[in-house]
Amino acid sequence: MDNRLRELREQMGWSQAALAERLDVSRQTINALETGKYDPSLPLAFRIAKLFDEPIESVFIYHDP
Amino acid sequence: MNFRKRLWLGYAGIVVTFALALYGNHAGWSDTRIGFFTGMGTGLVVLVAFMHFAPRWWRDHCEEAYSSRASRDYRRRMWPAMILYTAIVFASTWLLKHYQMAIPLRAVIAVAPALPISFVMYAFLRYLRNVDEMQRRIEMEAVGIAALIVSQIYLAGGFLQLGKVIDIPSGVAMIWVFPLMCFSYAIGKFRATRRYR
Repeated sequence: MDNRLRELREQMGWSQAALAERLDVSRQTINALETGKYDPSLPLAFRIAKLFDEPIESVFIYHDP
Repeated sequence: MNFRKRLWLGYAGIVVTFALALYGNHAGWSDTRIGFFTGMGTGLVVLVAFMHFAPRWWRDHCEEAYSSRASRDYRRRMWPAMILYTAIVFASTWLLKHYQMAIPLRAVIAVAPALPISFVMYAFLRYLRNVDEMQRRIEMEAVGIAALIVSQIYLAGGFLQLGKVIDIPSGVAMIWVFPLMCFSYAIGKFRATRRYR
């Protein structure tokens, strides 16, 4: 699953640590999300989408295997 | 406390524990007491060696993890329980060695050191609930890896014992389950963390 997290974060001018604080997760989790090494749970995915005021499907892009 | 300070604290711990073990040997302390300090010192040598040669990403991970609220809460609960455990182990072994007592009382005193360890386990459970979801996944993978490693060691050990190749006293084998779980958990955590870095 791809995501636009880095792009959205950079648009807001936030560091990984700042975004982590807003989402109440660790900076390492943000890094793992941005590099595609970790796919978030549904509640976290919704929190991310809500924070950036974007539909969830525009933040996380699912590809058929 | 940053990584470098913890490293120096580890070096200081090694010097103090081995100095105490050497002094105890010279002063005629009991083997249990000398063994305690030697064991602590050896454990610290392994820990400091790992800290010294750990890759940069692991140090960074530790720095961040140590400063998290969940980790602080865990340490706040874990350290008093471990200090209590150390005190109770000494008291329990001393009492069992020096006094004859009825079996029920003997059982209570013998099992007493397990009580503070249950506080440590509770603290770990709280930690698991308080960490963020990716860290929880890492922790669960680490616990799973630890369970598999320890099961494999004990299965192999059991077959070797049945085959009369080794002869480990059952008490020693049982006592070592928890420390082996902790050590295997550290290996598992290192491996699981690397996957998500």
